[in-house]
Amino acid sequence: MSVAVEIENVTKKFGNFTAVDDLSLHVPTNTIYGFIGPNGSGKTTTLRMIMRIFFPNSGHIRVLGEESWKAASDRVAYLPEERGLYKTMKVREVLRFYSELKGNFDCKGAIAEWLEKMDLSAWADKKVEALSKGMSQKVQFIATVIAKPSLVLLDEPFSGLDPVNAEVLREAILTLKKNGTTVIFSTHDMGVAERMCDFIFMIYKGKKVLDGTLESIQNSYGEDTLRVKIEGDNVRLDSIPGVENITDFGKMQELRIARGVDPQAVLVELMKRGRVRHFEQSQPSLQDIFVRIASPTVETHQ
Amino acid sequence: MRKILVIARRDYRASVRSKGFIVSLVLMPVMMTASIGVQALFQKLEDTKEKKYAVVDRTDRKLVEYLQDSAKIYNERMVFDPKTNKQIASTIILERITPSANTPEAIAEQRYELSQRVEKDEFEGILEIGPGVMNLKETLNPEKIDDAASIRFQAKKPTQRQFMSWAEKMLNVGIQVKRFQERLTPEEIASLNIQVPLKYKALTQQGADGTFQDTATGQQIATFILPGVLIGLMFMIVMVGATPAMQGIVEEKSQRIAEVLLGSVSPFELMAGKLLGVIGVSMTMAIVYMTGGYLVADYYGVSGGLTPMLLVWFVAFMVLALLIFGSLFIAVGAASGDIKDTQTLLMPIMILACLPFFALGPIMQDPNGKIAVICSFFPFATPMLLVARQSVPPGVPIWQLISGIALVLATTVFCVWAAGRIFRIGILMQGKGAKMSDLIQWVIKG
Repeated sequence: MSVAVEIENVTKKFGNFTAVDDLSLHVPTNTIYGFIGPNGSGKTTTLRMIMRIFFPNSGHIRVLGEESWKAASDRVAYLPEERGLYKTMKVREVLRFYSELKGNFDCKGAIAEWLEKMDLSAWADKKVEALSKGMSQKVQFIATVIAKPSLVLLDEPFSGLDPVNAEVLREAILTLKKNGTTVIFSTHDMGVAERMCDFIFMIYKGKKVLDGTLESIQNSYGEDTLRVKIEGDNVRLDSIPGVENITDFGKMQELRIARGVDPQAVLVELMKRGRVRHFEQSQPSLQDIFVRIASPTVETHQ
Repeated sequence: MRKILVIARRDYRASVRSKGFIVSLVLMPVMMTASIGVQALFQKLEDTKEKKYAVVDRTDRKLVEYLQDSAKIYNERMVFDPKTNKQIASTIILERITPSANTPEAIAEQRYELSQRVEKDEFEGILEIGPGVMNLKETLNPEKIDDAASIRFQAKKPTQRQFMSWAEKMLNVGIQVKRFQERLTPEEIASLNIQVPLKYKALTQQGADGTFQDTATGQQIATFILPGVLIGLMFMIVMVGATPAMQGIVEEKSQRIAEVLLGSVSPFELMAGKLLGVIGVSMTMAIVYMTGGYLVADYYGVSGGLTPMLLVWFVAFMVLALLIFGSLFIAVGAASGDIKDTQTLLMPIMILACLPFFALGPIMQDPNGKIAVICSFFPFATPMLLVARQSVPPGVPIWQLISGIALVLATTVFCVWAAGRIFRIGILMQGKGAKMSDLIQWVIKG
C-alpha cells in the first residue's frame, strides 16, 4: 500500500511553545484517517504542516511522494475550520473560483452536480453571507473537493452540521474514498471517528498518543469496561473493590476495572447494592479512551 | 500565469461591485453635472429683485442726476444677459432725498431717519455725497479728506461691494466731468477721458507652421490648475484601487481564506494577482474619470492642455504608483489582524502618498523650479509630481524624466519585493496585527 502522507520525527515550535513534538505518522493512500485530540493539542498545526502552510522546525514531511517547500499543489485540498469563503460572492462564483485556482477550468458541470448532490441547487446564485452555517459548511466542502484532488484535508468538517447534513457529508466523504481519494479529517465527534475512519490518530499536547485502526487501539486497552444498568433507590456505586473509574451516563453506568480483576466479583458486589438489569463486559469506546488520555483528573491517578 | 488572472479577476470583480467603488464612480458624473448645473443655477438664483437706494446729494452740482442717468444705462445694459435675454443682475433704483440743513445736528438727524427706513427695508442703503467733494483744495490732501469731502454709504451689512464700487466709479467720473465742465465742452471732456485698457495675455509661442501666436488665456488657466487636478486624480485613483485590495486581504485572513488560497497558488502568484486586480480597478476608474474630466474641460473650453502624450505619461506613472502603493497596501493588509490594525500601519504610507500635495504650491508657482525638481526626486512622490510638471509646457527636462523613471522603477521593485516578504509571513499570521518593527524584521530576515 503506497503512502499518501509520510511524517517523520516532525517538531513544530511557535516561540517557546512546542505545538507538535517529534511526530511520526504514515497515512496510506486511499484511506480515511481521523485526527482526534483536545482543542489546542496540535491537530490543526499538523494539518497545516501537511498543507505546507507551516514548515516543521525539524523532521521531514512527504506528501504524495514528494517533499516540497511550496504549499501550492493542485493535488492537495484543504478545508479550514469553519469559514474559508468570501462572504459577498455568490455560491456558484466562489466554487468556480476555487476550482480554477486548482487549475480546473472546466468545472460548470461538476459544480451543478455537487450542488445537486448537496441539496444546494436553489442557493447557487445566493451570496455566501445569506447561507446558514450548515449550508456554508457544505459549500466549503464542495469548494475543497471540486477540483478532484488526490489528498483532501478537512479540519472539523462536521462541526455545525445537523444530523441530516452530517449524513450527506458522510456519504460524500465515503464516495471520495471510493473514487481513490485519501481523506484526512479532524473531528471532536468520537462516534463519527469510530464509524468512518480506517485509522485514528490522536494527538495530545503535541505528542502522538494513539495511532492505528479502531480495533487495534481498543485491543490495546483490553476488555476493561463494564456497562451496567442497576435499579433501586439511591444505589451507590462508589468504593467497589477493583473498579478504577465510574462514568455515570444517567440511565447507564460505565465502570472501568483494573487489570487482573475478575468481572464476576464486581457483578456479585453490584448485586448486593441493587437489581442488575444489564451487565456487559466490553472494550472501551473511543470516547472513553479519549477522556482517559485527555482528562487531567485521570492523569493524576495514573 | 492563468491562476494569477483567476485571482486578479476575482479581486477586480469584488472591488468593482463594492458599494464604495460604485459610489465613487457615480460621484463623477454627479460632480460633473453639478459643477455645470450649480453655475447655471447660481446665475438663475442671483438676486434679481430691484434694489432701491436713498441718495442725499449735498452738493449743488446735480451729481444725483448724473448718477441716476448712469443707473438708467446700467439697468439697460447690465441687467439682462444679451445672449439669453435672462435677467442676471438687479436693477438699481435711486431715490433722491432732499438734503437737510447743513448743520451737524440736522445732518445727523437725517442720517438717523434714513437709517430707520433702511431698517424697515425701504432702502438697501444710503448714499450721501458730501458738500465738499467738488472742492479741489480739500480733496487734494488724501489724509485730510473728511466726511464733507467724501461719499458715504450706509447699509445694514457691509455686503454690497458691487454697488459701492459702481457708485464710487460713477460718481468720480461725474465729479471729474463737472470739474472739467467748468472749463471745457462735454465733447472735449469725453475725448480726454477715453481709457486705455490693460489686457492680460499669455506668452507667445511658435506654432508648427512657424507663425508666432499667443497661447490662449483659457488654456493658460487650465495649465495653471492642471497639475493640481492631475495629482488629485492620481491620488484618488490609487486609493480607489489599493484600498479594497487591502480590505480583501484582511477578509481573507480573518475568514481563513488565505490558507485555502495558498494551498493552490504561491504567495508570489497571489500577490501578483492582487496587484493586477488593483491595476484593473484603477484603470476602470481612471477611464471613467478622465473621460468625464475631458468632457468637463471641453465644456469650459480649456481642454487644450490635455494632449494624448500627457495621457500616456499619466497612465504610465499611474501604473508605477499603483505598483508602489498597491504593494504597500497589500503588505499592510497582510500584516493586520483586523481593519482597525490597518489604520496604524497605513499612517506612514498615507503621509508618503500625500507628499505631492505639500509640494503642490511651489510646483504651481514654478513647475521647473528648484523645489519642484528636488521634490520630484523623492520616489514616492515622483509619479504624481512628474506627471503634474509634465502637464505644464515646456514639460520636464528629459534627464529628469529618465532618472525619475529609473528611480521609480527601482522603488517599485523594492516595494513589491519587501511587500512580498511581509505578505508571505503576514498572510498566515492570526490574532493581533504586527507592529512596524515586526514588518522591518520580516523584510530583512524574510
